[in-house]
Amino acid sequence: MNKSDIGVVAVMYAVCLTFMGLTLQFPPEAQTYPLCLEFGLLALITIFLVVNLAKARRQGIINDLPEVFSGFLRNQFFMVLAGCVVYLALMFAIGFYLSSGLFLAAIMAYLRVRHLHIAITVVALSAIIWAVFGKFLNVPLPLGALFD
Amino acid sequence: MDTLALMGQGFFEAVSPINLLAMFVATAIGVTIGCLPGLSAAMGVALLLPVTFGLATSTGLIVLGGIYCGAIFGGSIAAILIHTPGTPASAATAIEGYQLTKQGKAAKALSVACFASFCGGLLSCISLYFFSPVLAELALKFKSPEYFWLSLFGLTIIAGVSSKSMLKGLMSGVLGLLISTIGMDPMEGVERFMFGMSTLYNGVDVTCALIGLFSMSQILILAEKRIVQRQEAAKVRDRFGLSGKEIKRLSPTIVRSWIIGNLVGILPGAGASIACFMGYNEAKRFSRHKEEFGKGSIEGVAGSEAANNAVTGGSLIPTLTLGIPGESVTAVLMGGLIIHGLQPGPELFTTHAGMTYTFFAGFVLIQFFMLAIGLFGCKGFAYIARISDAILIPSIFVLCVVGSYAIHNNFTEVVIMFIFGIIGYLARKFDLNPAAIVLGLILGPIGERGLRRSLMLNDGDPSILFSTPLCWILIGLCVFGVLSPVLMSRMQRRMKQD
Repeated sequence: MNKSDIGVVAVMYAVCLTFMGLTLQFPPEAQTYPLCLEFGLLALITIFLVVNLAKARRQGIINDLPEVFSGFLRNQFFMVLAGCVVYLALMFAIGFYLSSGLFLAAIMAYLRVRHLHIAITVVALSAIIWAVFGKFLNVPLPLGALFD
Repeated sequence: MDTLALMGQGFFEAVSPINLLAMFVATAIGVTIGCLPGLSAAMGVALLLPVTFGLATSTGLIVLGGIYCGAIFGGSIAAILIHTPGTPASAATAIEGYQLTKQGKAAKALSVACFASFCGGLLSCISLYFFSPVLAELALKFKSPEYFWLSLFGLTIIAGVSSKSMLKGLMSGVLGLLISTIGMDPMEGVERFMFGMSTLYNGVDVTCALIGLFSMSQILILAEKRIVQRQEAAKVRDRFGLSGKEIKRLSPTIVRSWIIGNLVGILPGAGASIACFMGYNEAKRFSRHKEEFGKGSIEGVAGSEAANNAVTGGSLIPTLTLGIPGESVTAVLMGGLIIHGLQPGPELFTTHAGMTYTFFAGFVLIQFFMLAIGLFGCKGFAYIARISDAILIPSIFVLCVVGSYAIHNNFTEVVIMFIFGIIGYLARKFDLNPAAIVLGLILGPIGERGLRRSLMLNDGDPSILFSTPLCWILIGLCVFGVLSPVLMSRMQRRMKQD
């Protein structure tokens, strides 16, 4: 059994049991179909667990996490992820175009892209989005609380 | 209207200026996505799905088809010029293509790839035209119980075949089915797992899920690794084009690869990445110049490229007629169909036949655009293939955000896309299957309707689910779906050994 599979089993059980708990609050006639799926999922997770426990008895628990996360750059990954979250939050305040420009420039600068390339990307992508979504599809992209 | 008239009308509609422009732009975008290592055809189709909302249905589908075909071909450019397959479908092309490049025959390799891709794609349209109506007619016989089994079959085949572990694939599929129950109960009118959010009334939006699972998750995959400068593309010094003698030499290989690619495409669960190796191996087996293989064989390039492009038409057959996508790209394409208000199945060949045949005609014309773009734009695409991941990561995220926002001009969709992006990333890291999750989401409502209607018709007695021979055939296919991973892994192992 791989160490990563223990996490998979735990998360899947948690998801399944949460759904099941919520399903039991429905009126009885609406419970049947979701419960069928939840029992099906529970059965699959349990079979997976049993198969892997049998494997673990033969081979022991293999630590595959170094393999799963080989080459994983923690700082870079979480900086990009945090950048994405901040970008979504900023969009509320300063609107789509400004926040997108800032996000693109900040992430590319962090990833050490040359300044000229950053400028070209920001301008080109903004122009494409403005033409396709703003003009062609008439999508009213958020202007932000500050400018609305 | 008879089929020939529909075909004629389809071509007439397809050559409208807007459709021709859509084909050109979509194919060029597809080639661009394909030649960028790390980006996949499924990701491209998912990302550009919202753009098609403003287009007529047939034009929107043509755009998605153009991106699909372009991306499968585009992978060969990076494979030949920088020895990095743009998509897994071009992995076999890199073997011979890069050897030819090292010998200063890059243009020759690119010409062969273009010509073989064009022929493979064009020939696959023949089977698309002739097999689809036959299968659609069969699907007319399906009633609620059959639809229930069909949705289960679709799920077992994609969950089983495209995952490393069949159980994990099935778990992903059922998780997708469970997520599809979010929203209003279609029979009882009860709110299910909505947490008071009215935006979830119609369930989780498939487009958001697609963009999150395929596009945003890819950003996170790229962001976790060290950004490396891609190898410089080789200079193209020789001349493009093929002589009559070379075309004659390649013809048998292309025809063989077309048959292989088509069969692999029709078979749910297999895909272009398997077809390219099968095409390459058969080209080697039947070649009169076996000594050239491994040192730069044009037959090797043609065998791989004709096969992977022949998959495109073939894989659309079960998707359009039965609603069973064989791989992630066609799962995304099917999502696109549903978003445009079309349900895959016989209706596409009756009520919406005009639109379907326009799409088919567009699919034929896309191959010509692919040939032209490939031959005249290869050098330009070689530069694009070198775009750094550092530029792609934030750019794709911005496109994910604007794409999901554009669905209903609502920020909630962006948040849902983000959540699915995280789910997709974790699923890929831990060998769960994002394609099966999507398929569960798409097939969930069909299966639920089929099951609940069947039970309602039979006063809750489940024996109706086993009442017709078609049900039993579909049950048999479900069993095959579960067992097929064993067959597939054996086939892949043999391919690798060869």
